[in-house]
Amino acid sequence: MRPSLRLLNLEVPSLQGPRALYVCSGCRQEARPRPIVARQFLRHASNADSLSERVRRKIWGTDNPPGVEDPYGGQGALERKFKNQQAQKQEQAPEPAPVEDLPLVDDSYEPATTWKGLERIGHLDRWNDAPRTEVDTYESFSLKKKIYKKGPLNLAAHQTAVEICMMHALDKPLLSICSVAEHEKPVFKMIWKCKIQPNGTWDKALEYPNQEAEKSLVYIFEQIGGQPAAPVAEEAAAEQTEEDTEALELVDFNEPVSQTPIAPFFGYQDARDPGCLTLPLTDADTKFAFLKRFSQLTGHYFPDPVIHQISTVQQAVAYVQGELKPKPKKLAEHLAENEGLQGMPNVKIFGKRRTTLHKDDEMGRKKIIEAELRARGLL
Amino acid sequence: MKRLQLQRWSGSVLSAQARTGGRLQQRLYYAIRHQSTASPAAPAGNDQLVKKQPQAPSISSPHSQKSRYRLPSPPVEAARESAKLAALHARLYLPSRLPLETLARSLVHPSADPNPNFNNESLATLGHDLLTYYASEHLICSYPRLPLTVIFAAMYAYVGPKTLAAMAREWGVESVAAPGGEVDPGYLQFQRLAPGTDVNPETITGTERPHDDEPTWRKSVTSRVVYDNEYGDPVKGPVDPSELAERDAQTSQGVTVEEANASFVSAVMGSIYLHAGRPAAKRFFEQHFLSRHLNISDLFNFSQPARDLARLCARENFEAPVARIVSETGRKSRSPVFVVGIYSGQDKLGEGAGASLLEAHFRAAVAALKGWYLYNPLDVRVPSSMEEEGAAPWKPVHVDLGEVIV
Amino acid sequence: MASCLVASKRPLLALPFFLSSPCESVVLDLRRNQSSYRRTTQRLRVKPDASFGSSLIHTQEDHIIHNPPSSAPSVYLTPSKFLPSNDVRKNLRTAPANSNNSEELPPVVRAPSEKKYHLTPSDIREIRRLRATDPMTWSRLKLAKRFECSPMFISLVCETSPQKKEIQKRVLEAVQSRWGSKRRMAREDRQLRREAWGRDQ
Repeated sequence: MRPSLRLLNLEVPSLQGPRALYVCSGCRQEARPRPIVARQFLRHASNADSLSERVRRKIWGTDNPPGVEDPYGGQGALERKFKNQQAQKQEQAPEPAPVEDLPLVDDSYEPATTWKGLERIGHLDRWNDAPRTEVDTYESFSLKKKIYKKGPLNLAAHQTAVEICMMHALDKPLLSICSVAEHEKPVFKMIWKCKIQPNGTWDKALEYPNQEAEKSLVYIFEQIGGQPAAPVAEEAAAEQTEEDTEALELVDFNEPVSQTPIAPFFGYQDARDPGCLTLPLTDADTKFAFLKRFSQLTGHYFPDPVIHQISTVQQAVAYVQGELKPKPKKLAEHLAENEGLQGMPNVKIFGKRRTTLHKDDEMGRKKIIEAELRARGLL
Repeated sequence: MKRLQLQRWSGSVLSAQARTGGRLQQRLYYAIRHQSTASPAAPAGNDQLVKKQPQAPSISSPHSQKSRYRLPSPPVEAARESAKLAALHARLYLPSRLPLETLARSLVHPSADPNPNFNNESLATLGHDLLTYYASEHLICSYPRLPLTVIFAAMYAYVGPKTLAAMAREWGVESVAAPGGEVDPGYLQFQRLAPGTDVNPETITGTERPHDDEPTWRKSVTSRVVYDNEYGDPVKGPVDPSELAERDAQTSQGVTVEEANASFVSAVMGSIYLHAGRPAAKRFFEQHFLSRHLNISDLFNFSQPARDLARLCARENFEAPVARIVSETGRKSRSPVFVVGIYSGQDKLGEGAGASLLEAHFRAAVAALKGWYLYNPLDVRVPSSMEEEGAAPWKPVHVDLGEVIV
Repeated sequence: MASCLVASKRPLLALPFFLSSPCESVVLDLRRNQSSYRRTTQRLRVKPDASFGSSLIHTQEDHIIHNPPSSAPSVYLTPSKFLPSNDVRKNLRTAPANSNNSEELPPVVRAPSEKKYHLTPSDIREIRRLRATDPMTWSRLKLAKRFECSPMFISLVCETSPQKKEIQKRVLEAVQSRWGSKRRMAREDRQLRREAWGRDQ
């Protein structure tokens, strides 16, 4: 309790009944510096107002000060809580129409001086209790699991390059390709069969396996440009090209069959054609579109400085692959691999932290300590 | 000058195998290392038995960390594992021919491991002799007129145990709390004294000096060359092999940190001499010992310099020394300064300043005597320089009457 | 009040009739002292030492300026008299020293006394007899005066009786017992200082 409160307690014993708190003489002395104020109050002892009321009036400068009447005393905390709960129960009964009341001008309207007893503002319903809606579910933009192997990375790069080439050729907004998270299997196979001429430009680098594939791919990608009906069209296109794909499937008979739809790239292990690696990423829009799509497919994130440095597809893939090498988690392992340190006789690397116990052992103190502990029966 | 056969007598120091005869051998009878595998040999075995002992049990069998607790000092193969030891080797810029194992051995004081094959006693003995030899030849050749007491003091300052201990501390050698097989071999290992032990016993008895038990008899300075050690301090005489066990029992009670550190520095000197040869040892001595600055003129203390100077001049047939006032100021003031020069004929021998004529005269005589004693010949050569290849023919060093004896 | 202020602002010298005799010292104090900037700098303008060499003479040649601070010579520089004859430095140094004359040497502290060697064995016997018979009267100083020799010589010839020594010791103790702490400490300090002379501290 702060000294000032203690002072008030001393002065107003009648409000709280008999004084229960012991105040040492030092604190009482400390309270002495304000005798003038106390005397002023005492002078008007005949007034009906309590001392705290007078103080509040003095503080606020009005005859009707806001706030609780007796901030320092009155009911106990438990009592107040109990009272509040009762009040809330009473309020809950006429709850259904609090909003409608607002526009009406109520005669009984009384401006609140404190927040106490006012209804809660904000989400009127309990948002937590509401069932989960579609909006609430979160789907990550990129893959949930990062791709670490080299083959799938090349596949992703190839697919991205083909897609961006297609979008370039069709002259559509490049970023709209990102709305298609995953292609149907036959579409992907067609993409996989496409080739990219090395050192070509984005518009003309693409080389289709055959005319039909070109047609169907162009048809599919025509649909992508942001129309709401795109998925349906895509499905239709997929159906359309069913025969082709089946024929192709027969050609590549020994290709792996994807057991689960979750497996990325339908079980394909590596790209057929490395020509996409030579494509330049000098144009800012193309680069951004490529990296965005690539990171969507692989799950890797490109920081801004890295994006700035990358100028070809090769570099983008190399960056992701460089990231692939998992760094050793412990510094000791990292240092133990360092050949420069291994050759030094005066450097010793320990897997665990060296503690006083180790030092004691090195200095021969440990056995003395143990012997002493044993002698006293502590070990 | 004949060269020493290095290999002939360094074998006893280097090889771990015990040799017949000598002090080391005699110690082996009762100081055979008790290993977990090998049963302790009978103390009264003959030479053949000792020879058949396994060369060094700690070398032959790999030891687990647990069994190391039974060894008195870390095994030999631990030297390669210690980073501290390698760092010390590199810090001292020791020659690469000096292996880490020897450096580890030089860190083991006999009080930690009484086995002479594993402690540094032999190395320290050799190193101590080398150190005192090099230091004394340097002092005597470069200051041929020094009084014997000053030589003793200077020797103590150059290679005394206190200096060696300070050097070991400067080299960053740390010492163990208690010796044992599990400790890092980079630490100096020795048995510490029990707290409360009297470190400086007042009188040393059992010296070789005749009538040692007469404390009031005068001990001449010259006799200290013969009977006392290289610092002019009384030293205990040689111990019989039969009493060696008793002495070992004393050392196993512990030694001071200073003594252990000094033994380590001496042992390093000895091991450099054995492994890298004489030039390397000499270079090490010059770099670590002679490079320490010692102002020899501070080691003097005169009680009657004017009388000594008069005796000196009479002995050397110079004119009698005369004190002359070179300059003075404030003779009648509270703090006068007189500068008095001591002249012998036309030549000024020394000069001193003081607050009184007496003091100035005294100081001038001290300066003149120091001028005599601290004569330093040009192009000094020490006898050990003749050991180098293609050394110039020896010219005798300057020798004269030197000290003034009144 | 106002007039007082005016008067105080005037220079005192202009009002000689106000000043009584104690005020004269004030007048004297008002004299200008010499610590002006110009005078100070003028006084500090000293001619360089001769050993620095005149710039007029050595304008062209290179020369070494050797002007060491005044200090006692190092004890490691052996005086040329103490150098052995086979030392090269001896011949190098003696050349300029020969030009000095004895007249240029500084004055001696105390003239060395001529040794006379005039006492005969009978005289020495007489000294011993006197010292033995009446040690109180015949002190070293008195004997030295009588036989015209130094007290040092008397102490070489004979020794006083143990009774005299005991008495002297008691006298010394009696004197020293009257010393206070200050005097005692001063004497002890003096002794310590004297011991430090020998160690050259």
